[in-house]
Amino acid sequence: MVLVAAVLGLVANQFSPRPALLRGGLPQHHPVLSNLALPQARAIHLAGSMLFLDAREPAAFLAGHVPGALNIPSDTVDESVATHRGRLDDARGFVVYCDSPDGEVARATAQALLQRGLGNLYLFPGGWSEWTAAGLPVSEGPQ
Amino acid sequence: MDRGRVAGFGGAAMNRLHNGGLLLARLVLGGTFLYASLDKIADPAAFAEAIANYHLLPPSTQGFVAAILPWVEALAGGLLLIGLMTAGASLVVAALSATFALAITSTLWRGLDVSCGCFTLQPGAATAGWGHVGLDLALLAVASLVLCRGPGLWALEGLPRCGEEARL
Repeated sequence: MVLVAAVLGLVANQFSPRPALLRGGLPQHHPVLSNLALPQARAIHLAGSMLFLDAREPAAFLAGHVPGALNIPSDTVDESVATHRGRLDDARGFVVYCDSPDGEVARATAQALLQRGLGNLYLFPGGWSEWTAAGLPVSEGPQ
Repeated sequence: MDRGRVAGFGGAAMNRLHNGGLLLARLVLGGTFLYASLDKIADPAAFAEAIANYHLLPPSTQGFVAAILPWVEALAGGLLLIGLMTAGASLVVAALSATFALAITSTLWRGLDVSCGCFTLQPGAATAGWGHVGLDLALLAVASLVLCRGPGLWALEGLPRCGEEARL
């Protein structure tokens, strides 16, 4: 039964107006981002399992940011990626945050990063405002 | 004991009630999985995105799963509806339900806010939650019932129940 379904599925996919890509997963213009709530963002930060990326402007980043975060402003993604290429390549995943409502700036930055080949990206929509309101640790100055 | 027959007190009426219940279980199960497959078959790309949102499968496999899984659901659901190859179909449906329950539990555990992708792929569809886990576990229970007790009334087949020897 599963074999029949597999054949049917692959044939139907070939003729579908919106086929799933069978090689390479999703196209880069169709980025997928999942949201993290504050407790999960905090747990990931404590575990050090992912790199935090701050999408705010450099002045806001210098005034305070999540410890260990890199500054990747949404309007200078290419330059920032070039600057931090080594650390970005070494990271197993990324949590992107900002301080705009619903994390729109972070989303734009994350989508730009997806298009530049970074994977395993998560959004933290609560961002800087939720982080500081919860009294979690912050760092000041450059990364 | 003959397939679908309830031994002891109750006789034919009890037997008919028992097989009617199995028919209802089979129809609910088959209808649910057939319905759940429709949106996914219509839009494999959107279903691939829903799968990717779970962050469980490597990207190289997501397209294949998105193309094949809805047809497995449709075929298993259709077979359950007509009562053909019921044991195999209910086993597949039970395995799918258990897998879905584990996948959704995993996203909840990791704090991911993802669309379920269970019945519809439309934007704004329900976020995966404990209600979906409960539904999958209920479907798993119904599938196990059909698997062990047989297809009930109006089935196109005659397979033995669990523990019963096939009659040649």
